[in-house]
Amino acid sequence: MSNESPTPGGESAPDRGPLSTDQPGPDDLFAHGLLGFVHTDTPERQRQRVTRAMHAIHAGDVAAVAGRIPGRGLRVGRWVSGLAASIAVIGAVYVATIPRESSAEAAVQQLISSTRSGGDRRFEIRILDRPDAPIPQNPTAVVDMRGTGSSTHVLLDINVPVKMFAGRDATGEWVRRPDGRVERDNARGVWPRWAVVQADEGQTPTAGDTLFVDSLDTLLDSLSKTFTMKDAGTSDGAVRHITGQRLSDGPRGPMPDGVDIWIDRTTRQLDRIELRWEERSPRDGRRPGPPSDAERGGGGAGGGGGGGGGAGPNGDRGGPDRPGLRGPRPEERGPRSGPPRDGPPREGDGPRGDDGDMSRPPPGPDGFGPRILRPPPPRRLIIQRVDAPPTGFADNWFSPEGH
Amino acid sequence: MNGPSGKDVFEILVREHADMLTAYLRSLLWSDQGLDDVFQEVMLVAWRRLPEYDRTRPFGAWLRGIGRNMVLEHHRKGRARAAVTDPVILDGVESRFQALLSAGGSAPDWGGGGQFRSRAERMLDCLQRLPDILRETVEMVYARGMLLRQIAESVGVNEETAKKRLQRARESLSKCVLGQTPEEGVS
Repeated sequence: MSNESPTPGGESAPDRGPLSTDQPGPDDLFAHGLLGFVHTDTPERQRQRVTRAMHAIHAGDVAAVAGRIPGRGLRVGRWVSGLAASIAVIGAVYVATIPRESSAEAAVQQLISSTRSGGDRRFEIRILDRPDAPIPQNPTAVVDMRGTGSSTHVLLDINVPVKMFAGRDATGEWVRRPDGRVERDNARGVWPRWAVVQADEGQTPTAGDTLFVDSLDTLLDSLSKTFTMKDAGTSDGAVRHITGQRLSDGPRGPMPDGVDIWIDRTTRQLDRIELRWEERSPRDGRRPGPPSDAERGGGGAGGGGGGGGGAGPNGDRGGPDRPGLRGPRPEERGPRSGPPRDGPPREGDGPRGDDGDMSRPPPGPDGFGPRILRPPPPRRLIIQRVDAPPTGFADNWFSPEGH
Repeated sequence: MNGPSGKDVFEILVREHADMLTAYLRSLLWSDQGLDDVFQEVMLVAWRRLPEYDRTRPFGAWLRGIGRNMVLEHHRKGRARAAVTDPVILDGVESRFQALLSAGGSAPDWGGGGQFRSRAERMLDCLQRLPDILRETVEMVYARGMLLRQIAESVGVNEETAKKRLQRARESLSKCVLGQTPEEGVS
């Protein structure tokens, strides 16, 4: 037997050891099952699996009950048989029409599994307040990660509105304030808002919230439940472009209105995600979303425009010499839709400039003013995977001592 | 169980044990191929045989028993390939699932919902403790979906070496996730 077993999608399944000609032992098989499960079977996939099984059970019952109706003569028997057959066919059609993963959705599911890889990885975050705003060369922040799940170590190298570091190490979460103080109690409360996906609007993020930075697979999983995914039709040979439209009956919350995902065809790893928020009418009130212009403002202590972050372990972190976003994809897509920024100021809005943009609110006493006075959130958030240092992050990279 | 809400109760039980059953079937099957079919068939058989279920026995173990038989039946009929058919090894796999599910004093039929997932995800923590060379091999297979041949090419070893690394890694992970030292092996 070949070591490459085809999947239903026609791709080669990974060779996972039971394919060895040697007799695998129980430890080998046990670990194989768990590894396959934790890397592949997302809660959403499991839900679909059970739903399909229950539909099959239901369809089987209907057909079986119809088949058990006692016949009273040939004509009735034939009628009953016909009914049973019809119901069975209807049941089969019903089961067959249960939504199954499209190829794009399957790709996203596979991506979720891939992002659970626990190796060192780095992402650049860029936040734009207008759908057609030029993408800045320097990232708003750089996020480094190591490990998976709740044990993920995280470093946020934040450039705007103030230069600061935050993260999570083996001890817990921390933030180094601009004045140099390291805070571990309620550190997440001063993390940038974009780092928190599931905090309730208006609430200070807490340790119970899901951070997209500490669990990209969680973010992707949430997106896959909230959006219908399909190929965008603009994929090229190297990268697959998938676009998602939000389900009309999906949850609102802080999730975006639109999402685009690019997947590296070779590595099957995430290349880039763009999250988009449409502007709500004033009557909708403030909508949740990533941080505001003010949070990115660049006017705080330490400034933000001076490069892509501090030096990495091997000195290759961001900065002007760092390559920008790859390829012409952002430009290809053109301006994003969304209403113009008009209407009366909303709660939390700062003063508005002549050009229609929100001017930056004054920073607070410790440079965290934007958390107090929040203008509307921006319209695009871009997460770009970039190469982590080839030598990996230093041992203390995720602790405040490393910065 | 067969009252008006029997199916609802059954669905609750199924949802609680779906993660465990999926992982178990992955252990027994040669590849992903046929997994969904076997899973669905296990559920159908369980539903049909529910009146025969002895409620004094763990439901999860009962499901695994059906799963084991279904994998072997699919294997015999050529619809899916079992990783092994040796009953001694299959018993060994079963004992490891029991050990995982009863760890920490849980009832032996424990295995519901996110709790199984959280226990299974210990594997990810254990993965971080592996030597780099073994961890990377596992990640290439399970996170990136690479074939052994591709792994061998990418790291410059022969395929047999990559295979051995993968086996060593999984054996270590099994011990780790069950909280054992190698000397405390489950039968």
